[in-house]
Amino acid sequence: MEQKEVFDKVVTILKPFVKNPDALSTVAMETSILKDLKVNSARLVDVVLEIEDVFGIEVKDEDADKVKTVGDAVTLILAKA
Amino acid sequence: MATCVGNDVVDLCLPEIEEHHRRDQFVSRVCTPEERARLGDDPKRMLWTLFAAKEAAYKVLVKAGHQPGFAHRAIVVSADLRSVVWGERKLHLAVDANEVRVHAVAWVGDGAFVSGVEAASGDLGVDARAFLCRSVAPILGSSPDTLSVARAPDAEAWDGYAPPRLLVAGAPAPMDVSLSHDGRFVAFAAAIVAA
Repeated sequence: MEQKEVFDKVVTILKPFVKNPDALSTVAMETSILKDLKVNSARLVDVVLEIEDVFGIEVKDEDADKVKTVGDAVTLILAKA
Repeated sequence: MATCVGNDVVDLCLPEIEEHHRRDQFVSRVCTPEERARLGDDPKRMLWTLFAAKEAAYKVLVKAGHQPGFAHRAIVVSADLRSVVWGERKLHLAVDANEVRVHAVAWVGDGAFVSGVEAASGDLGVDARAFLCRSVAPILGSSPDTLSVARAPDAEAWDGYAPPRLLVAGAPAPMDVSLSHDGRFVAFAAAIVAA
């Protein structure tokens, strides 16, 4: 799977949880999921489960712990898919 | 030891969390098998009570210099909802739950704390800070106008900021604070820190 395809799917997954929709117009690999997109930390479990479902991978707690940016998520998925 | 507090509020009426207690993936990701067995007759409220307790404890652990990480099951809530254990660390817990929201406060130390929850409709981050300042001003003997909340940038933190600090006229207040908001609710917990 290409990085661009994974990136687009990750953004689609994040979209329902984003509290700062303006930030979506400039979303990039370095965009912070919590700081920039303002995803509520309480919804991060939902994001992780959605990533597992969409990409058919298992995201362990220690993997999720390293994901701060959209790019971190893309890198993790590419490593596991 | 000075009291260190963390709090978390969950709006139980949010449509996006309506079915989570029926989703095996979510429940098993958040709860230990023992906690799961305790969801009981009101599984939605109990699930989010456990979740809020773990989030509140997480905030305390981070303030204490620990790195609990993204591991909800590693933070274990006692059956009586009065304590939380993470590894060898034990935290006190208080839960205030009703039909529409759950509020959990976790803390370490012997000092007293105050906490509150209220409905809000504006910018929830701003409203939570205002609620905190209004509530603790009498305790500090200060006008709410002189109180403010600051969060310093912290590249290592999950959301890029260190925990909130209460300031009186721009100087650190002798109080440890925690803020939370979810859905329609804002909440805080605050404790006088021993000198």
